[in-house]
Amino acid sequence: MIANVLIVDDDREMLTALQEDFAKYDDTFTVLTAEDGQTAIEVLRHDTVSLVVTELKVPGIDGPGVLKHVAESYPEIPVIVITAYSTPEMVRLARESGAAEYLSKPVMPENLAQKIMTILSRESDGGTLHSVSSGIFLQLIEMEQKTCTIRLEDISSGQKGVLFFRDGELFNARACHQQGKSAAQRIFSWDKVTISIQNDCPPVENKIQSELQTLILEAARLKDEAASSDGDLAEAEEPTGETDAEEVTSSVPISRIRHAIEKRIGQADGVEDIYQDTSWDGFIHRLSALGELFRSGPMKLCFVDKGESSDHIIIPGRRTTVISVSPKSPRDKIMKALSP
Amino acid sequence: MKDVFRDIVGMDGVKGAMLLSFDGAILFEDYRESSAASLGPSDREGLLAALDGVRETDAVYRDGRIYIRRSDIGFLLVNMSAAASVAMLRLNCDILLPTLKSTAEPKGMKRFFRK
Repeated sequence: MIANVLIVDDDREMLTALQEDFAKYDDTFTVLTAEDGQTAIEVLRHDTVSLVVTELKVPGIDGPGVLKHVAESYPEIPVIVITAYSTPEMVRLARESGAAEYLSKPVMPENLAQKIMTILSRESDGGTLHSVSSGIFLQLIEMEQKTCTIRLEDISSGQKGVLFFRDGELFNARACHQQGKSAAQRIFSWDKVTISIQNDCPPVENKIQSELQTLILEAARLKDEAASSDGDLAEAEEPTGETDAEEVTSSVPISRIRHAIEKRIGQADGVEDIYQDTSWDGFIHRLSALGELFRSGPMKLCFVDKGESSDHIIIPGRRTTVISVSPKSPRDKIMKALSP
Repeated sequence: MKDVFRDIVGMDGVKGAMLLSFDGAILFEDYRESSAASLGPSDREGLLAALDGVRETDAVYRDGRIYIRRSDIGFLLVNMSAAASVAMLRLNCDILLPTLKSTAEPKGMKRFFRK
């Protein structure tokens, strides 16, 4: 599951540089930015954020204000505080306000990335499940009276949500800007999800006060109702369901590849061109042989950086397909879209 | 050399790593799994020819992934499971590979001109 990391700083150049530099980690996290506290709060309301990195001195609602807001409204989101104005008093205040880490500027991007990934890894310290139906799994959490934070991502829409369980009881849920029962029902309506389990739950208010089973059944009923009223639309959209990864990488029509990428990533995918080119066949042959040696099975695709103005994603097939991408493209997302 | 690669080989999902010099010598090899592949001289020669000009490649297979990264002294090959984090691996490579230049023993006359 790709996490959203919100970086709050009024230094626009630094935000842009970090966003560009961290693009290489986009199979783990995506960077969202805010130049002031108010924008940060808006981003937190609309997106499912996993981690906040904030400068202490930002316009409007300052860093401590952002910290306080996160602690009150999103207690499961850790915060890394960075500042150019470090004093022992500030360190103490940041720690007392619940900051997970405190870094003094200048911060090396690699060090910050390492801190981010270390903290994000805690989101899945209880494991990750791919492409599962959430209902049965969540009832197991209830039966085993687990205390945990569950993060879910709907595979078809990419929407994300969080569920908070204490001793097997669902205390709260959040999806987009919804909280409580409505958020839980939205989450339960997702068919196939990726689930990350964190083995603890922050102190949260019980906003659900309802049986899990009842909520799941209610979500199923609402979904059925919506499906029957949208029947015509669903039929019209059915052919797009064929953009399954196996089909994409085996049959390889260019239009289908382009569609699969745009569906998962949108227009800003950094794809420059898609074409068929047999000059890569020797390279593919060697990497395929390497895969056989390492018992990795047949090759599905590969990314190649030759230090040129464009990088390439190569898909083997009867005719080798080459996707030419900008070096700043979300390559991991593109590869995942073609081979989830 | 082993210390340099400890963070890479110790990552979750990484099955093994190998550093192949530009002339085909295996400079480092460490596998967690006993069923490690053995790259014969002709395999290495063919692979190096295919990697000519490549800075980085990340190949996805049905049952795993192979990440190859060019360094100052050769190509690092990392064999991993499909679930391993390539982003974390790239980060470790960004940090560790630049140190190889200084830890690698220079060959020939160069060893007498070390700073």
